[in-house]
Amino acid sequence: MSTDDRSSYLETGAGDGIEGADRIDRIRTVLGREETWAEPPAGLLEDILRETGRNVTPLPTRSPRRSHPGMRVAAILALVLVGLILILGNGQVEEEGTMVAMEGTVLAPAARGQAMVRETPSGWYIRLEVRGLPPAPEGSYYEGWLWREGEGVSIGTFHMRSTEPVALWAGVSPSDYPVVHITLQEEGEGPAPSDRLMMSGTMPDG
Amino acid sequence: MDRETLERFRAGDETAFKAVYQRYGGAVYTVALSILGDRGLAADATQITFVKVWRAASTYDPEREIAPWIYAIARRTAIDIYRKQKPTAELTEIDDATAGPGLEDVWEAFEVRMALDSISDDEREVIRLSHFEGLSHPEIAERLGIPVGTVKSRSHRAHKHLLELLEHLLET
Repeated sequence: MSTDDRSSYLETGAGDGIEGADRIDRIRTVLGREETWAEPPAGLLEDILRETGRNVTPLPTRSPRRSHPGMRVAAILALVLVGLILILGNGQVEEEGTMVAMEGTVLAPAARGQAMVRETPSGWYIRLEVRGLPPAPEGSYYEGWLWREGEGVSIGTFHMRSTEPVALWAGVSPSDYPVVHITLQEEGEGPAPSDRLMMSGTMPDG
Repeated sequence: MDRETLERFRAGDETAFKAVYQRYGGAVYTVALSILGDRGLAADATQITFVKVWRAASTYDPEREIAPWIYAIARRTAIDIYRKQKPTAELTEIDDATAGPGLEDVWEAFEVRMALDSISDDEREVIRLSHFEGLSHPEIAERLGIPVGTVKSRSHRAHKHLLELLEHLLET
């Protein structure tokens, strides 16, 4: 049985006495399926790098700005309507670090959780495990901040559409910026922190 | 994937991680979509898979093939999402312990996708048009704007190349 006979059978499905024809038929079936040819969404690698804490650049410090009251109300309504409780599972690997209790604000009263803060050679790793915070409404996203009086540094963005804990990174010391804030941001509104504060927590010695 | 890239991947090198994603991202997405049947969930599963791959990179043994390791993480991740989406329905069809024909299909899909991602774009496209879109050689020639004879020779070469890459599937 020559290779040409088998590749011809793979190509056409025609031929008698082909060795392994049943296996080649299976390959032909796979080649006809949509999932074999489907491509992952563009930008997925960037999302992965963001979630792993890569490519997250701390933003310049800024003061919170006021958002339009109507937009704020819309964001609150969207969160209430979603009403979905999302529980993040525990990681498979035990990690040591400083634990920060996170509480939801009036914009997300059901949100609860904790942030584990650990120093690494490249910065501070912050593992956020939250429940009760719904996925960010379409066109918006959540952003984490390390905060001190009047100024904050971004520690990454996420949308809560995954069941995994959120990995964030900080390039400033939590001892200098002892408060962890989670804000709801609107896409296209720039990098400044909004005043839609969803969750907050303070370092134990902060 | 070369040994040096895998060593750098294990050491946490971001460029090497990107290379791993470029090589296996499509195959992982195929696995996820085969199990979940939903592009959005498959994208989530692919993202979670590679986050796990990144976090577990230091545990990877470069002496061993990386594809089965990534496949195992991808399959487990997709099954976990499947269970969360359908906590009571049809679990036995996809349960890891049953190892039924459904899972064999998923493994074959992973292998076929990896092979397709290894051949040239020209060869890949002629196989896609033939098997997925069901076009004849003259129809492919018209679609690609090339002579029918070129399609025939390219298709023959492409299938031979693909079969060589999938030879191990014929032996199982």
